Amino acid sequence: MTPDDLRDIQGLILSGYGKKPAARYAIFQIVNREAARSWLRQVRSGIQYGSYRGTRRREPPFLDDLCFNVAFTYQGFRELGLHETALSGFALPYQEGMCEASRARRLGDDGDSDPKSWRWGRPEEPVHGLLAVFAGEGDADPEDWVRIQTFIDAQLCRAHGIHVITVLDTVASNLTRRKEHFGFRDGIANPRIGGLPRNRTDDLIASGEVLLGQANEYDKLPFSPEVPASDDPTGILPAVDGRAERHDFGKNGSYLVFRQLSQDVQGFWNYIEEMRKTVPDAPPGRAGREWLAAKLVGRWPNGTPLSRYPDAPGPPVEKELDSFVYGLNRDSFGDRCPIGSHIRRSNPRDTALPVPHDPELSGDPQNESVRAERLDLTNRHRILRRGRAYGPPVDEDYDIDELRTRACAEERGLHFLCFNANLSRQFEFVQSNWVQNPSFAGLSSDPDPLLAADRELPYRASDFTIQGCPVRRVRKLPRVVETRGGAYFFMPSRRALEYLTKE
Amino acid sequence: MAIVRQETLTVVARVVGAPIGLRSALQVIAADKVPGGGARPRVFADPKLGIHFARLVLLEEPGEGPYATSLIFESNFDTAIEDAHLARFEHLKSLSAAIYEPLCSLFQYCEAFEPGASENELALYLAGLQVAASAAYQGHIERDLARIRLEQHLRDVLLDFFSQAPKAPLRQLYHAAREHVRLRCESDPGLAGLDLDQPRPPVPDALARSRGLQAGIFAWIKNLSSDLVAYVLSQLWNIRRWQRLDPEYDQRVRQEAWTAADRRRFVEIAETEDHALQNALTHVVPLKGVERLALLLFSHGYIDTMAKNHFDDIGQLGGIPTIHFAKWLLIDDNARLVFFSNYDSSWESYLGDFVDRAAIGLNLAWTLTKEYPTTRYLTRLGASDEERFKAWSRAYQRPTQVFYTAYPELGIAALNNNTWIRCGLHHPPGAAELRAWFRRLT
Repeated sequence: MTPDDLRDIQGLILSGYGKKPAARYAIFQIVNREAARSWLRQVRSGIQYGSYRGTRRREPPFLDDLCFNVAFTYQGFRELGLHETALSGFALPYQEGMCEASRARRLGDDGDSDPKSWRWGRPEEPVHGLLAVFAGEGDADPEDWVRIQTFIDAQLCRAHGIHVITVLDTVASNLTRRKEHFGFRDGIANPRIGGLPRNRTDDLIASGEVLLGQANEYDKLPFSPEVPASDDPTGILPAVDGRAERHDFGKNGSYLVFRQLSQDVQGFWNYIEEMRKTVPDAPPGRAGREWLAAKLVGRWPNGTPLSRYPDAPGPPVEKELDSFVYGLNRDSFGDRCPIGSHIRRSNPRDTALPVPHDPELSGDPQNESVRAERLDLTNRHRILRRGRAYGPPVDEDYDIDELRTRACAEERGLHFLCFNANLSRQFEFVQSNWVQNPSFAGLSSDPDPLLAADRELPYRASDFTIQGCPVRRVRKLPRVVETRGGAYFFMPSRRALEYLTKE
Repeated sequence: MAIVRQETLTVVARVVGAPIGLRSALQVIAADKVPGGGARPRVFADPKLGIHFARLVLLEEPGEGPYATSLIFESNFDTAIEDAHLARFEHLKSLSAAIYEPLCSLFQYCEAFEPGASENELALYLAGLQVAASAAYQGHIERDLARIRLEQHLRDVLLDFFSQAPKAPLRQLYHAAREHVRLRCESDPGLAGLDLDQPRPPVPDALARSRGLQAGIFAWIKNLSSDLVAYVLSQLWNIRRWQRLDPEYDQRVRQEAWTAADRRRFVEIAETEDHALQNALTHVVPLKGVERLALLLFSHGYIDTMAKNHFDDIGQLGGIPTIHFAKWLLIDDNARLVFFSNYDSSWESYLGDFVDRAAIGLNLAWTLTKEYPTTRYLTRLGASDEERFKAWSRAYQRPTQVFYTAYPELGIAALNNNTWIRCGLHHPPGAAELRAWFRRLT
């Protein structure tokens, strides 16, 4: 990836601004095309781009104190007057939107998660854009939120042709201690974009898995929206190789999935307590609750993977939380980290799909080339997560007994954000084939215990199997996560924004 | 006792006039479902019919186009009759007797249908419209519906037993479970017919499966016929010319030209998908030219041989382990190739398997059809051009208006796994196999 690319890519794609404790996401509609284009023209140079990733941490350029990024839905680009050719070049899921009926079915958005009851992103109130704003450093300061809101109010207003649908708050990232509300360390298994400076070298995926205009895991350029060169006479956009008549609108942009997911913390821990009593091997009391919950998640609350530490939490050494494969931990068959646990089905790593317990069919997990092939196949479905929690933690220490017993009516959850270059092959695949699928990896009635229990499709299922000798099974998993809003956005490059707002 | 096996049939009927009434009749059949969710239209659910998967497809064509509008009926069913022709006719007779009215409500819009025909005449009429598959595959051979359900229930019984069993040495646990099942057989109707003291069913053959899975490329070589090799060699010059000159699917041109009708079609297809664990793929694509028909038939003959001698045994088509039944057939005087498959999980996952696991075999099946991504020597490249291949597949896909699955909650991996669990319970496994048997309980 060249320095030019880094200058072109919006910063949120390259990092989650983890050091910035305060964040808000403003979801908006465009009500006046010319005013909105004019606003975007003014504001685009202030957007945080990725140059900061091209230098050492203590060398400029640094992240802005208050940094922001913008992204648009398909309807949003249409409202802004993007050329029809470019509009038709976006991926079909993006064009149709997250709330399209058959898509919602595939993503598990039924019952309380039905798009018709979403707070934002409903079919009848289409979303056009997202302004994500981040501020502060280190510990949260209430002033950071004030500055963010002042900025949002100043930018997203009628005078700029914009109507705000909702502003979504987040909880200070220093307060969450990088945990999600159920009390587990979060944001661990994120792949690294290949070719990015200042990157760890493990768990790399091709840059084209995240960014259009870059080679993907198939060594091909992802399909990208283009405009006729005649509509870009000054060459703001990069030319398309081999086709002089076209310029690439999508290059260095990325599809952004945004889902607001509420979490029923008490419901989750009450279920754990109820089921713990039914599992013969579960330790008594608190240790049993921690053990069973860890089995469902695949990690201990401190983030250490069950695959490495099957009996008790290990020391949470940052580098070791993610750098493991199942085959090298004598865990090919789910004896340590259950096959259906949340982390294993979200990122199966070297799990021998389709049926791990059938080495004749799926390959010997002890064979290094089989493992490498499995990792390659898994890497064709990775996503880059950038989410943040919202709502106050039930307990600031995330004590698992407090999480279970302390009554707390306020809603909390996760603003799930992820980037990918191919919505169908990455986000939607992971959600429908791994997370949502009760038959994942040879299981029979086991959906993701956190995200997908008791969904209507592909069929009602709510079991969780703990592999081992003998095998254990808990039943009647409750729905503890519901979708409250969502949309597919596209976060364009600097040059795409310049083209979009040209006079 | 005759072994129950599975057979497949396809009926293709030309529709007379505009299919307005036919569309409504299909909607009526699709809407009347067995309670409990899943893609289970009641019309095919009678256990006596022994249907695993069935579909009805209206291939609507524009009046001015080269092809006629057709109604296609496909069924994959149990039969104990060895002769394939007779088995199909008997199945059509059963269908005509059991669902006479629904069949008439559909085929009354088709050529040569005689209103007021008797059940037997209807069966004869349908039999006359059959089109043979140029290649066919089955992912789980010789397990009838009753056995599939029994083995699924057995797995559940075992999981419940082990979930509460105290820890003990494996051998002891195994025998306790076996005894538990043996006792339960006497009172549990779901286990009717299971007798653990009898030898396990002779099929599927575990040894044949193991050998097949280990054969790799040798299976392809072993099943090559000298006729095929000779014909391909005789066509080598043509093959090279075609791969150089044939236009492939241009995703950019096609996508940028999508009309409202195209988008409606995508929505219509998506609406028929993901109502159960399994989905139906209906794909219809013209051949590139009649001069390639012989080569296509040779290729399909090879795939069919591979299916019969190899893929059926190992439960994978090419490298794809999620297909229950699949078949290719030619319609419209060999002008178009139809592909039907009943597969697990989503379209994206299925097509991803095509790209990642089975590009070579599938290139062979489709390389001679219109706009297929360019191949090299019939087998290389092609489907491995991921986005182009998927776009081509979707462009030629048709909605499956009526889709029936007998076991909407049972993927082929679980179905086969249940069989091996059951087989392991008939004969106490050796020490090495015992651990493997326990691992299957998942």
